[in-house]
This record gives sequence, C-alpha cells and structure tokens, in this order.
Amino acid sequence: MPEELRRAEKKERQQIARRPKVFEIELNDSKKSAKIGGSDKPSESWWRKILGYSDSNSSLSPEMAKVNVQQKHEPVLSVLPKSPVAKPIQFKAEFKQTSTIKHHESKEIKPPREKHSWWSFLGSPQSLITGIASAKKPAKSKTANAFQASSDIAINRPTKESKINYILESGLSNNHRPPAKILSQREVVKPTAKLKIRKSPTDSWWEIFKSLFSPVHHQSNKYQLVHDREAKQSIPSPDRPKSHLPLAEKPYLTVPKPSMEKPVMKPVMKPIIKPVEKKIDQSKKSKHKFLPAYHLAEKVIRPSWMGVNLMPSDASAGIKVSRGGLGGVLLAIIIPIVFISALYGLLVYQQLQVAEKIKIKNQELADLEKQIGDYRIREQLNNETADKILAIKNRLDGKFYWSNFFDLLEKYTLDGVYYTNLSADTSGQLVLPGVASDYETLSKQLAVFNNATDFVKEVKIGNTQLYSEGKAGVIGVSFQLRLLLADHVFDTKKN
Amino acid sequence: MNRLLFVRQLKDFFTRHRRLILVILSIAIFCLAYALIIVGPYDTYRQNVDVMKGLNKDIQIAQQKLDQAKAYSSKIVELDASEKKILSMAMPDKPEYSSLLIHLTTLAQKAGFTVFNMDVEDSGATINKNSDKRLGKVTIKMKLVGGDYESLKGLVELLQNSVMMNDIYTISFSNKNPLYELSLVVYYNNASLIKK
Repeated sequence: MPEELRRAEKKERQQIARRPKVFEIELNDSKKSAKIGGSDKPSESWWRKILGYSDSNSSLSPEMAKVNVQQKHEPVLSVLPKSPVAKPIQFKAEFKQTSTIKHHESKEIKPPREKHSWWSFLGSPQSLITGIASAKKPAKSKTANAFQASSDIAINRPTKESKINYILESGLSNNHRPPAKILSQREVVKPTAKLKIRKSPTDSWWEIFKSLFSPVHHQSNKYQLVHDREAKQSIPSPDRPKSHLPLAEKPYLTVPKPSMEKPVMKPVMKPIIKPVEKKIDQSKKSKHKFLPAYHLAEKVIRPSWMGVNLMPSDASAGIKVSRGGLGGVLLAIIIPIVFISALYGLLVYQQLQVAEKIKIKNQELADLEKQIGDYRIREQLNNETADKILAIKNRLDGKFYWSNFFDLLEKYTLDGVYYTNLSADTSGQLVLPGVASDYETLSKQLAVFNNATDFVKEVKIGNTQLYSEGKAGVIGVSFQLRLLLADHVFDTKKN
Repeated sequence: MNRLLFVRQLKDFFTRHRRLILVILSIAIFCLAYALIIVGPYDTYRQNVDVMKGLNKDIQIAQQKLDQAKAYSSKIVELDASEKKILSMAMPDKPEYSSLLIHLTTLAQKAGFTVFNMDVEDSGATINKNSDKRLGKVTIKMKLVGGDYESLKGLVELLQNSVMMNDIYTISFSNKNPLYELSLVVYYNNASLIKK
C-alpha cells in the first residue's frame, strides 16, 4: 500500500510539472501590481536628482503635470465614451511567453538587458537634456534603432494606467471603439515629436559634460524642453478656438503614451466578466470618484508670463551675461581683494605688535642707559680721583729731598772747613767755595769726598790759595770744589 | 548691429577663455592692490623690524656695560670729605695763587724767615719733554731774609713734608749777604683743565 501511494504521488508531481505555468494578475490591485510590475517610475540616478533634471514627465509644466496625474488616475474614462458597463471592469492579465505572440516592434524595441555591474547604481544611461539622444544619433543600424527606441521608452516609460488604457482600447475595440478622430490624433502626436531638437555642431561630449556643472538655460535656442513646446502649443490658435476642443483631444493628454505604439511585452489580457448588478453598483460608486466634471468650467492653461521676453533675440543674446560668468568675475575680484585685505590686516597687526615691542624696548633701553649713566658719573669721578692719586704718587716718587743733601754735606765736611757760598740745583753739579784751616785739612777733605761714594761721584778742586782777612792776617786756605753728586742724593728721603 | 555683434563676439571670447581671463584678472588685481596697499606698510614694517633688531643689540650692549659698571663699582673705594679735601690741597684742579701765597709765607715764617720777594709764574705743562703733561706747574722764586742755615734747613724740611706737591730746584745763599734764594715748582692737576 505505501508503495502504491508513493507511485501515485510521484505521478501527480510529474503531471503538475508538465502543466503550463499560468499566473493570474489583477491589475486593479495596487499592492499586487506594484509587487509584480515593480516601480513604474524610470530609474533615476543620484546625479540626475541632484542636478534637478527631470525626466520627460517631470519636465512638463505644472499644469501639464497636473493633467497627467489626472490622466493617470482616470485616463480611460476621459477617453472612452460613457458606458456604465465598461467602467467597473476588472482585468486579468496572463503573461504567456509563447511563440504565438509575435510582434515585430516589440523585438526591435526590446530594451537592452540590464547589466548588474558596479556602476549600475548610477541608473540607466539617460541623457540629461531631452532630445539630444534622439537628435544626435542618426539611425544607422538596427541596434542603434533599438537603442534609440529604448531611450524613448526610458524617457516615456509607460505607467500602469497607460497600460490599462491600452488594454482597454485593445480589449474593448470590438464593442466600444473610440472615434477615429481621436485615434488618429493619438497616432499623430508621437512621443518622438518632443525630441525634434536640432543638434548644433558644437554639441560635443565636452559640451554635454560641461552642462553637468552649469545651470540649464531653458530659454536657450539650442535645446527645447517639452514643457517649452507644450507651453507654445497651449497658446490658442486663432483658427481653432480652444474652448471647442474636447478634453481628450488636447495634445498634452496624448503625449505620454509611448506604450501604445511600442510595447515591450504585449500581455494577453482577458476581462473578467462579472454579474451586471455588481457592475452597476460599482459604476455608481465610481461615478463620483473618477468621472470628470464636464459641467464645470474648463481649466485654462495660460502661458507663464515669466517666459515672455520682450527684447529682440539678437539684443538679448548680446546683453545677457550668464550667472556663472558674472559670479566668476565677482569671484575673481573678490578673492584677491579678500586676500589683500587679509594680508593688509595681518601686516597692520604685525606693525602694531612691532611698534609696541619697539616702545617697550626703547623704555627698557632708556632705563638701562640711565642706570649706566649713574655708574658712568661714578666711574668718571673715581677715574679722576684715581688719576690724581696716581699723579701724586708719581710726583712723590720723583720728589727732590734736599734735607738728605744737607745731611750728607754736613756728614762729609771736616772740622776746620767751612763754606762761604752755596748754590745748588737738582742737576747734581755743585760748586762749593769754602775755606780750610790749612792745606793738610784741605787734602783730608778731598780724600773724604773722594771716599764718599754715596754722596759724590767726582770731586774737583780749584782756586786754592791763602785766605787772609784785613786785620787778622792769613787765617786759612780758600778753595773751590766742583762736586758731581751721586744719583740718589735727592731721591732718598731722610729717615 | 556691429556693436551687438562685437558684444556677442566679446561674450563668446569671454565664455571660451573665461577661466584664463578670470585668473589673469585676479592676478592683476592682486598685483595692483599689492603695489598700492601692501608695499608701503610692508616697507615700514621691515624698517620697524630693523629698528627693533638694532634696539635689541643696543639693549644687549647696554646690559653688558651695566654689568661691567656694576662689577667695577663694587671695587670703588669711596673717599670721605677730609680725604677729598687733602687731595684737593695736594693737587688742586687749577693754580690757586692765593692759597699758594698764604701757604708759602706761613711755612717761611714757621722756619724763621721773612719772605722778602716772591715771583710766581705759571709754566703750564711744557716745562720739559719728560714731565707729565697731566700736571700743571707753577714756578715760584722766593727771596728770604731773617734766617740762617738752620732756618734754611727747617724751611726745606717743611716744604718736603708739605701736603702741597712741590719740588725745590735751586738753593743759593752766601755768608756775606744774609739773603736766601729758593726756586721751587708747585704742581696742580692739568688734566681737569684740559677736559674743561
């Protein structure tokens, strides 16, 4: 038994494995669709967000964006004729990748497979300025066309609601086909029409790269964004009054539907037919929510007065100065001025510091000089005194001491000899006239002087003769000594 | 239109060479501002810096001098008033004739003489080549009477021991004539006169 059960279970598994895999998706369920289809928005890179470039939908004017939003929420209802049956329909989409579905355009427009590499976080490569990619690349090869188509798809990626529009139109084409006028108008307005921008020969990769770092001039003649063109189209033409246009025929409502023309994968969708009673109830409920209010006044989209330029294009082109250029000039003027000002301030600060230091140093030097001056006066007085004392000392050392001369003269003079005259000077030569008692005494005196080496160096005698006085007669012998005194006779002080 | 074309060309030129033009403009403004604003104060600043350096050197030299003066002053022996008076009497700063006369006559009287004649002559510092030029000399010739040989010896002794710096150059006397002649030199400080 267990073996039979196991075999039966195995067969069952094999049968299940052989069955075709069918997935049912309810598109009106927002949560499920979000899970299956992923985000409807095209992947935006971080630099696109920083630089403020918007994609094709976001580049529209606010009014257009509002209309687009409205179109996203209620696109089918505004386009389709009013039918109570068609409104509450729920759809079941079956994605079958079978060989029976053959669409030439889908193969051509198939976007390149995303490569998960290290730079994939930057997002898919999309041109910053709409129109450059399509205007720049001519259709040379099949792959180039495919890539161009993929860029178009990237710019105008179909949203969920637009897919629903297409499904509704394709699915209900038998019963409620929209008027031919509307469809023809939709076909006329293609998403590639907004890419009709001429590329000037100066649009090199360098210009594009430079444009990353400079603000985009929306009024530039080179590039025209979608909202500019739409703004021009929104101006009512005289031959066709705007008020007569139906809401669905307005061109901006038909612009963002690239999925209608070039769908990537065409899903086979089958409407889920439900009982009529429930449909009527749902239509009643949804009437108040989604139906447009036709009895209200139509919202007039006026061109922005900010975009009006009254000056001639030539004149304005000549006079315009870009903000970057003006800022650069201001920067070029301000930076050196700031630098010079800082330098000047630093110099003044240093000057003040140096002046303060000089003042302090001067004060310090004055104090030192004052102290030195006091010492100089003392030094000068001391030097004068010292000089005087030194002179006195020198003079005392060379002083002539006559008392020593008189002592030595008395010492070496014998009794019976006397001098009648004395005339002496410091030269050391001395003439000494005198009178001796007799010749014997005179010879002895000569011998004494000759032996007195400490007093006389040389002795000469002359004019020796008898000396007599008037009444007394001869009383002695007169003589005249010439003495050469010794060197230190006048130098030695008497003890 | 030509003007507009010129303006447009100018704008295109500026757009093409914007960075180079701005750099040149910045450098030109910097150079101009440097020449007009910075150069003058910078020269003054440099001069002040040089002055400060000179002051630092002067202060250093003054400090050294002060240190030397302090060290020198510690060795100075201060004289009191009596000592200074004695010094001034020994070697006056200028020839004091009045005090000289009084002093000599007083000494002669002490020795027993009477000054019969006195001749005073200022010889300055040019007596002879070997003499000290810092010393001024006053030559005095005196004729004394009233004394004897012992009085002469006494007078010579008094002059030798006198505070006043003097030297006796010649002495002459005779027993026939009681007149004693003395020739002497009195010194004073000539350096003070030279400074004045």
